[in-house]
Amino acid sequence: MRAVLEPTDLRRYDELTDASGGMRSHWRPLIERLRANDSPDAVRRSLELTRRLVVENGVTYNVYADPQGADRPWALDPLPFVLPAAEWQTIEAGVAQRARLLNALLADLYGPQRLLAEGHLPAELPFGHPNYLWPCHDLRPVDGRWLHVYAADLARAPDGRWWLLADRTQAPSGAGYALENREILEQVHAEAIPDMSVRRVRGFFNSLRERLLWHGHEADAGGEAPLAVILTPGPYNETYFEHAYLARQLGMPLVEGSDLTVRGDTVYLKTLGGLRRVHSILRRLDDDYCDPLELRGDSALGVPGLIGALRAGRVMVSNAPGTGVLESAAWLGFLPPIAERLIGEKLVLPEVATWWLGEKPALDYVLSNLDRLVIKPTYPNQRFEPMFGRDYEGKERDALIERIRNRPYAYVAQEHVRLSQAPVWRSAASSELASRALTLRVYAVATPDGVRVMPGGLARVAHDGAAEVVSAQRGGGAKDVWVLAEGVHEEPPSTGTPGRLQAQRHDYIPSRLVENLYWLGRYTVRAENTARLVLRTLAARSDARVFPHARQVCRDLGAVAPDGDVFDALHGREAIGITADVKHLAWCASQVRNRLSARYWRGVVGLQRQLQEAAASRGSSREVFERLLLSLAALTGFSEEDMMHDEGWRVMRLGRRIERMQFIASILVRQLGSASATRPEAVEWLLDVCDSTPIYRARYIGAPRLSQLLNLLLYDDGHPMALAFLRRSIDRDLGDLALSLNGERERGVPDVPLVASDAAEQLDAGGALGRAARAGLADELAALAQRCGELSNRLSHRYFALIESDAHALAT
Amino acid sequence: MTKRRYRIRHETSYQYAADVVHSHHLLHLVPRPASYQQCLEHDIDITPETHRRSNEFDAFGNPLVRLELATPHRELTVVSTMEIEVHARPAVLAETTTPWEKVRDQFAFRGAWPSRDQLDAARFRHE
Repeated sequence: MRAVLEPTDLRRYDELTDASGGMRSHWRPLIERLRANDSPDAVRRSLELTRRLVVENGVTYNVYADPQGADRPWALDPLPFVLPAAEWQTIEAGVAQRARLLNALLADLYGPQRLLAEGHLPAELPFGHPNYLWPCHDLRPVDGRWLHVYAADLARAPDGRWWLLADRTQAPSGAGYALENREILEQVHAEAIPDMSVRRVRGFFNSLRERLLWHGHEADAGGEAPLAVILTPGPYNETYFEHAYLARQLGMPLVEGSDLTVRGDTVYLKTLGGLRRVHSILRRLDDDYCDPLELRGDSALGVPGLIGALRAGRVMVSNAPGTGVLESAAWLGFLPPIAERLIGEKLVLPEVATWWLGEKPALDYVLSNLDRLVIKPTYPNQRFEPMFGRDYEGKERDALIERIRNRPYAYVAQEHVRLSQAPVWRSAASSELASRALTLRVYAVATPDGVRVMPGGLARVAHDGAAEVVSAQRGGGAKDVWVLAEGVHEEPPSTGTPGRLQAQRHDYIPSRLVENLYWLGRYTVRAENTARLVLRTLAARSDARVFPHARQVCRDLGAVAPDGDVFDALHGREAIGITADVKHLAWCASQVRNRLSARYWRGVVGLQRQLQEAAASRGSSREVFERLLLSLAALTGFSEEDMMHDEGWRVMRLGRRIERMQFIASILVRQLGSASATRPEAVEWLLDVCDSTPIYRARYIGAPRLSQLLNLLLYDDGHPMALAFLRRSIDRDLGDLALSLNGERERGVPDVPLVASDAAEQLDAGGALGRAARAGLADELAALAQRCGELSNRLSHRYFALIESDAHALAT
Repeated sequence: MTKRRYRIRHETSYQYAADVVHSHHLLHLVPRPASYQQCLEHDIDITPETHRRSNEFDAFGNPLVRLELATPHRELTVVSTMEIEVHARPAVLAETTTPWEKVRDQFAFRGAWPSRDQLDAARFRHE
């Protein structure tokens, strides 16, 4: 590895080299270590290992399972960003101070509003901000804190000092990525990290976890283990990966708004076992989405009544709703005097020079110095990118000035910060280092013993050497941040952790998750049924004795549209048949992503790809269906082998069995009602559709007969396709479920209709007698299929919608 | 006209396609008192039976009713009846009021203690 020093830009601070061109001492141990392995191979190996670990995590946690890992905001640079101990002390003190200050500011804005009364602040700043939530006014958070988790965006100015660029107060993102980056780099630089005494970041997450469980500890001294959850907007959020990752690292359930319910003033998690009290919520939902009752009425992501529960002091929400009001550059200029007023301190970290244009003198100054300033919005809902004054000339400049003059209070001007340049590993093809602009995000969490700052963070670098702005939209990368310890650094012990706090149960299965597992089971079998039905029908295409009947059954059972054709089963409408089954299957799988193994998820992705490719080509449909069946069987195999056999898994299996039972009963009804019911070819076809030909052959010889098929598919309790087998296994699962949830056993499905042995022969008979016998059995089987549907509804009411436990919770 | 009394009945009803097992509601159905209007009596009748009900005020001083329903239902009916007394209000002559530009300038932030009136008005100046 060579540190090729690019021509030094004197207007920027260079992180690696000092003004005389020598390497800064805190980089030396790392760079020398890497130089010692100076071979293109070593570099390539590091890069490849990093990339592979990133991809593996993506497969483990991410919903969209992009094989390139391109769905994450930044690529991870195997080269970390190194900070010496002394420098870190200033950052740490500054960030902790700011966390205290901003919490005090929030308490004033949502409480007595003294700063406004004393003229320290214009009313436009809080009240014009969309995240100032009036329903939270006079709310007293249960622990007295508004801000539990805080992040500061920092940049190093040419003079070498770290400056504050922006505050993140709502639901700061990226801490999970910082942890993930560290875990990856711990493998890439397995020796360097301990040798260089790089400070560990994990303690920060323990503090965060303790903070969240603390309220439960205080509130319920007796018995109940406190429950903290992470509230996510769901898999479509761009940082869902991080939510899932944090949930796993913190050992907390990852929940969506609809998993929670407020009864009285208490928040509950809807679980398979009933309602469980939630003591605290780490939210990744925006302020105004938290409660559709009192905030945005159109929010389908929030929890109705959450603000009421907060007001009653029954739940802790981190950060409290409304904390996003501080996310605006407009605050910066006002904070130094506020810091003196609220906490009696001078700010440790200087802020970028900022002017709020609602003040006449500021406006005049900015308009005459536009060339060296950047114009930003006061409010986040203005949605425009920062505008560099120097880029605007002539008419454009007049238009910009006009725009500002119309609503001066909605604009902020800032001095342009020349970001420092940090070394990055450019590519596998070269062992040279390049320079990129860098910003640093540092995280703090409030603990009962004061604010604790993560000794590390998330560094972000620009996409190319000329870039002056670091932006996720324009590519660029992330870096792990190595804070070096001075001598042997003892991490502060985690704050008083009663043993009970460790005992947070994280095996609660949210009802929504269980419901999706249930439907994942059902759709897997439904897709399998459809595929086998179409496949066998296609195989019978040239046999006129069975094909018309088979084609009709395909239509009756929804394998193709009522007016559709089996030959077009792969190119039909999206809402029907195999395309719909796989689509629903994939959706359910995406909702329970956390509980599936990596290969299960790959299987789901592969299934979708198979179907897309098949729809695009005009190849042999039979081959496609054969392959689909194999993939579907693999999914079921993975669920048996890879998944924890807990209640969620049991419900998934129930879904499979109920779906299968309904299908077998329904297809038998169709067969019994058909004019070709007893034809050997039709019976043979049905055996194939029900995947029962080998077993049948082992039992019976001669041409297949309907009565023998029925004997097999109705009563054989060793055959997984037989109704008796399915009924018994459904019963057993319902019993086990009731047992593990300490509840009453749900009623199963009734017995399979009995056919007397003398009546059995009539099933094969022609004429009116035979038709009557078949019609009688068909009625009973139709009723059985209906009972399967009813069982499904009962399960859904009881375990997913929690209707019974609702009544129960309210009665107690 | 010096004052007038009105009896008002206002009915809202919702029908749902499936059972609503549990729900929270906020009702803004009671007029706030003002120099020119008083609500002499009001009554809100709700079907189905409410699990919890409380009268509160929002951050702007508007009366509101907070409801929690816990009986499965497919229809919700809210009937609000009230008796209101309205007094005559003196007409406002536009020429005698302060021009808006001046009002705007009065509210401009100057880093000094705002007057009580300015402070009270501040919360109503934004959406």
